[in-house]
Amino acid sequence: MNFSKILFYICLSLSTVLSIMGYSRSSLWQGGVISLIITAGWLLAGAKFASACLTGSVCLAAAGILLKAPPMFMFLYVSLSLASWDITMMELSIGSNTKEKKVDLYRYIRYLVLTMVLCMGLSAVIIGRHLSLKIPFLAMVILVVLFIAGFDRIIYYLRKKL
Amino acid sequence: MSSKILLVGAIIFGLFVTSLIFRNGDLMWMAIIFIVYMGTGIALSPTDKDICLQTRRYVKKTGKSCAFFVEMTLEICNKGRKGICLRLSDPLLEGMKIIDGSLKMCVYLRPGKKAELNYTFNAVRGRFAWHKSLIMAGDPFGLAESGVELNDMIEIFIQPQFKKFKPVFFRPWKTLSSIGLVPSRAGGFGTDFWGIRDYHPGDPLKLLDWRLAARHPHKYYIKEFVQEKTAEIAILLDGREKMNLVINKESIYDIEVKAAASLAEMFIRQGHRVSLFAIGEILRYVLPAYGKIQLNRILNCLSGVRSGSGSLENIPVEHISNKSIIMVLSPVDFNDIYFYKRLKSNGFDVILISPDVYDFSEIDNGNDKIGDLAFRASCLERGINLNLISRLSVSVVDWHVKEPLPPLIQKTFIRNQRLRRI
Repeated sequence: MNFSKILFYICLSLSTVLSIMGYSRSSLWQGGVISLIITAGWLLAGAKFASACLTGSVCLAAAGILLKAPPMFMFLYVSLSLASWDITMMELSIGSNTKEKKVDLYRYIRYLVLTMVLCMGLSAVIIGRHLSLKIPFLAMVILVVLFIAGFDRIIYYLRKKL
Repeated sequence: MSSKILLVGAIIFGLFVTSLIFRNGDLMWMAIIFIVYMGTGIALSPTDKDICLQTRRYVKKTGKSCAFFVEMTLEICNKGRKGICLRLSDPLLEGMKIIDGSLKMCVYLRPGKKAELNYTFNAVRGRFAWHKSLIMAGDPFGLAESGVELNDMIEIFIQPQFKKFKPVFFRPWKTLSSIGLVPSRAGGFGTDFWGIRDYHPGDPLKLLDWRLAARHPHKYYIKEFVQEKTAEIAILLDGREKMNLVINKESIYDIEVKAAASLAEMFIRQGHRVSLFAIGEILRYVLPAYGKIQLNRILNCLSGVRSGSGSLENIPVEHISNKSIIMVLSPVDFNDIYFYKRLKSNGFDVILISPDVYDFSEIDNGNDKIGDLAFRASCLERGINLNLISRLSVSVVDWHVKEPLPPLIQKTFIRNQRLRRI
């Protein structure tokens, strides 16, 4: 078993455990069952339905948040599902040509960037949730719209810097 | 735009809309994880200036007995100033069977470094051409990729395998003027005795028959020998779809192709001039010539032929020399009789080699009486068609594909020779 598969199983099992724990905290056992079904989907269908499984996981997490499940568990569940999906897609695109050393380098870089991204995302979420800024809802909407409109500018700036 | 970025974008949009509908901030925070993921991917994707690549292809053919193994190597070098993530992929062409390696690979290439995509495939016969390599350069997540097309045209022919037939000796009615191995119907220089004629001034003295001169004073005679010339052979390969029969991935057309290759090799080895006309998807032909280069041309042509919707009428009969012996490799259809009539009216010496489709199919009808009757009727119909064609003074070789072909052809040549004597 290669390192990618081990990592995939760790991410998947952790995400399942976290979702079950999150749902059990708010006594919603149905959520845990659905989470187990999605995990079975990941394992049985493999790469073919990985995108569908990720969408299912996000929907389940969103439903959990709306049904008052602890949000931190749901964020972690979604993050680990994203990691599982990314590892699956990576192995699908790489193929079985593992003789090349540069493929291993690619894997290593991808794991590194993925870990960084998830850490950054979760940190942003944790810090952001603890900041209590009292902005009116309309102003918030305008800010989001402005962010989306200026997204390409941010990307351009980041590319230049990197 | 890749499907991955579309999925991540759709999730972000979905979470954003749901958070607005339910006025729930946590859903928006969940979207942040995906935004960071997508943003990092886009930010890390290389610009057009960063992509400077160079590719080369290497091919190595191995194996001879049953099938060829081709080792393909696609080498790519990063000539740019930045390291980039690349996704290499090669198309799976028709007839290719991957034995080792993979057709796709993802690599991270530092500036000036090289990577190789290696795979080995197996093919029985075919023409394989790679015109361009499509390489996707993008971020590590494969979200924002841009395709780079690099020209590295390469073409390989996997020629059909042929058996080395024992030489078939024959005395054609018409021969070419060049010197070869086939005894012609004219006297001249050669090895076999042809006859004696009167001496004419200018004849070489070494050919004088001194014994006869001793018996006939004041008269001289010249010994003549059988001239040995070359023959011209045109091989016609029938690849019409309706005549093709495929059983267990083996087709009658492939057997015909192998037979054509073997015949071409045998006649070229004997020093004859050989041409090929193959009907299939399109008409492919090789004009008559001698030697190993011609054999290579014929085998290359045969490697690319496929059965298709062609017609025997498409063969440019008028371009074939009337000194040719035409060898037609075809299962017979009733409507083909007109084509053979046309060949005979043009004065060709025609030999039809007809593989027995019914023998090849090995149909066992068991207790199905109707099926058995239909099978027998089809066999009879084929026999009648062959008989009708043979009445046009076309030599017919009824070939059961499991039998060796050269003895049958040899028999046909001997029979033709006897008929000419009568």
